[in-house]
Amino acid sequence: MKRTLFLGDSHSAGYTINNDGQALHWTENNYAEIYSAQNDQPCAIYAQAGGCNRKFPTWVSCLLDRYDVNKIFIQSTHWNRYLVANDPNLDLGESYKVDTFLERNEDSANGLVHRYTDKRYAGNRYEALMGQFEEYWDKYKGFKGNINNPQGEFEILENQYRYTKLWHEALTHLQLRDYIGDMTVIDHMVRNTNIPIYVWTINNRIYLPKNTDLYRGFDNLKFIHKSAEDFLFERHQMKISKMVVEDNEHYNYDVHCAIAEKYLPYIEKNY
Amino acid sequence: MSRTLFLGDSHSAGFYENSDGTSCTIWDSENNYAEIYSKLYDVPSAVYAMPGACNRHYPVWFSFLVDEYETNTAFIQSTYWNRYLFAYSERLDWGDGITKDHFVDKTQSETHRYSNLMSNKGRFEIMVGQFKELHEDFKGFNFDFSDPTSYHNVFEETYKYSKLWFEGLTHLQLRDYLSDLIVIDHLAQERDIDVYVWNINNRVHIPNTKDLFGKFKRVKFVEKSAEDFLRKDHKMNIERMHIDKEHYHKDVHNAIAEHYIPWIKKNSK
Repeated sequence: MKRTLFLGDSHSAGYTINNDGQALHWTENNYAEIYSAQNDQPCAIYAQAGGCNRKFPTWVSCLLDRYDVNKIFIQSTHWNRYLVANDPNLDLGESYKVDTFLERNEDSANGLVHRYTDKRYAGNRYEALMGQFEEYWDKYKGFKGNINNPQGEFEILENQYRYTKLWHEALTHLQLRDYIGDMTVIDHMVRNTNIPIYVWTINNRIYLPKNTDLYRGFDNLKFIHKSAEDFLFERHQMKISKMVVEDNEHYNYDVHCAIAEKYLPYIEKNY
Repeated sequence: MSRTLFLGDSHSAGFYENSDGTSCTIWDSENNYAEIYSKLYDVPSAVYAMPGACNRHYPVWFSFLVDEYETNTAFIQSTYWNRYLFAYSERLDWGDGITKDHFVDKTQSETHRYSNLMSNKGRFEIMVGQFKELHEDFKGFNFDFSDPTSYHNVFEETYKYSKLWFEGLTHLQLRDYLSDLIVIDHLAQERDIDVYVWNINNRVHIPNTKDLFGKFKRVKFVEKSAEDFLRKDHKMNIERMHIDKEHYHKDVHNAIAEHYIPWIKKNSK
């Protein structure tokens, strides 16, 4: 039987925190695993706390190598995330494989779901997800680069990485290009197949661009512009921003059930 | 009539520096293999090039050109991997709705010439290289699983330092390079365009690893640089044929146009 793929961040990785404030993964708070059980559908999840589009082409490539796939759900995540890496080999990735960081975790109890995440280290190679966390935020200092003063750019290079990364990469069209590019790579990998790809957002704090045809349209990939938050509020009177665990970010089991039972079927039917 | 596309950096833009090194121009010189090829073989062409350009530009440039022209052949000059982009937006937005021609700067000539504006309508975009004068030696990286915040030194270091050691010289750059060319492959496949990715000399890296996201269908990587080809087949040592310490003079551009580009078309699979 073909397998359905799910990609995402902590919301897709069964993240919650227990009464002691300890983070737990692959718990029952996982819409993907609930969907799998309800539909008796074999699935594979590739997810990681902080996961973002910069990871997703690699993850899709890994899973397409391993499974006969019928559809893919991609949980689009916050745009303030990016990757850094370190490679003492200094070989520009020549010894890197697409599954270098892949780590298979224990299957779901019913055996239907195969769980994957990324490890941070693979040998001496390192890759980590970063976020523009509030504690690293620096107020914008202005921009002096112009055609009459091209050397102004060098001030940008001398600023702290976290600062320039935010103001001169993240909050610009370059992030849009990366996002659309990553999604185009994914679309390319399933071109000429019948595999639909649904790109969706769990709440309204996640940005999904309106204009997605920067390079061209997409063949198999569909952007879902109604978030789970909006859908569940409008159709099921659920206010999911109030249905969170102690960290005020991650949703409780009822929300995951509703996403699995109501929202994902809605996506499949309407897009 | 179909138009052949050329993408690249200063080598593709007719870069010329005057004899005392005080000024440089693009397009005005004869040092442009693409335009020589166009005239020599009577092939209408369009060139999108800019000093310092890199693969991070190419998907947008290619997408723009294939919308503008009917084409079945494109030559992409792969350039140094130590180049990247940064930008600025007055509106602090993500450019939702930006069009692929936002930075296009067109010069009308027999060969259609395109380059990028540095700024337009409140947006700025510039290429940066890991220039020698900006280099800092690696200071070490001590990740500790019991203290995951130790990686924060990445944040606190200068942008130029972390960009080099934690992005540029890692597999992330390989992924970006291949992603950019997969996007081009995606566009080329639907329009039946053969895309040849080549390098002008052996200092420009073309990866051996190319299949991270599956096999390329229309993009073909040329395994022999112009430097190697011209040395072996035409006894030319192009590293001794410069107008400055980097750019080649007209004889090299002639040889690339007359011999190397046709050889690429004939021999690349």
